Amino acid sequence: VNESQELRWRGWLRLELEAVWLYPIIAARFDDLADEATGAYQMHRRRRDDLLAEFDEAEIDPQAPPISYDIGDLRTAEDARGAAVDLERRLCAAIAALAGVVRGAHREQAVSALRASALQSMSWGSAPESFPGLD
Amino acid sequence: VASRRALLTGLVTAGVVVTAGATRWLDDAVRAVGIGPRRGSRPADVSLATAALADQQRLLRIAHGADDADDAVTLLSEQVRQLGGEPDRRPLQGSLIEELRSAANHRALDAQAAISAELVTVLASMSAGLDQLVFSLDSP
Repeated sequence: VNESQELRWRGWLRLELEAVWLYPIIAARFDDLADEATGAYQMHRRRRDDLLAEFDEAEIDPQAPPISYDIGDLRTAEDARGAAVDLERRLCAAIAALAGVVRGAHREQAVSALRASALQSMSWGSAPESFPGLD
Repeated sequence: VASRRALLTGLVTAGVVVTAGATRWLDDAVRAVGIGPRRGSRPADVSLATAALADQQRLLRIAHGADDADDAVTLLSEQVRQLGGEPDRRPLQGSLIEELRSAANHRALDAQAAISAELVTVLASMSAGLDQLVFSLDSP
């Protein structure tokens, strides 16, 4: 992680922190979505830990996560699916922005994560896009 | 969020975008920066983009030859245009899902090999889009 990349790494980490906050809430509130949300939580927790390790190695302080996030009412399973799709799509955008400015293992990590989040968004009900993460 | 159009302009400026057919659809703003390889272009990126475009065209032809693949045709046509190509409508026989799966992995490897940041981003995103297409075609 160098200084010029730091902003993009931080953008990705911020969303991974949001994911490890959101998915347990979905799992707790909606029984039908519990397995899927638990799987997503585990994936994002691994990613968060990997990112924190990158920050630690680069001797950069990661930002502390906020206490909560504005996700709306989340009253129905459809609301929950929508929140998950929105989050995974924002993750795709953050990771795509990083992929172009890193090399080697970091780029491999970013490309792999971009593909995984694109698939996650599909599993939550998104439609396929020609360029996930770009507008 | 990175803009596809901005990335395309970057690819054009870097001389990476493949020229075949591009003048038909590039808008004036993008065309104004000029198209085609030029002094300073990175040959490795031009070769990579050319090969990726050829593979995407082949995928598109297979989608044209497949039943009930309108969504795939639309998505693949957009991907071809982003690389500066004119979508090829000639049908070709093939196993669409298997070819898409393979192409998704190839575009990810292409992204690993690319030099320009714009090309890396476009190829990585294309790979993810192909994964999504496989998911949608594979789902009941």
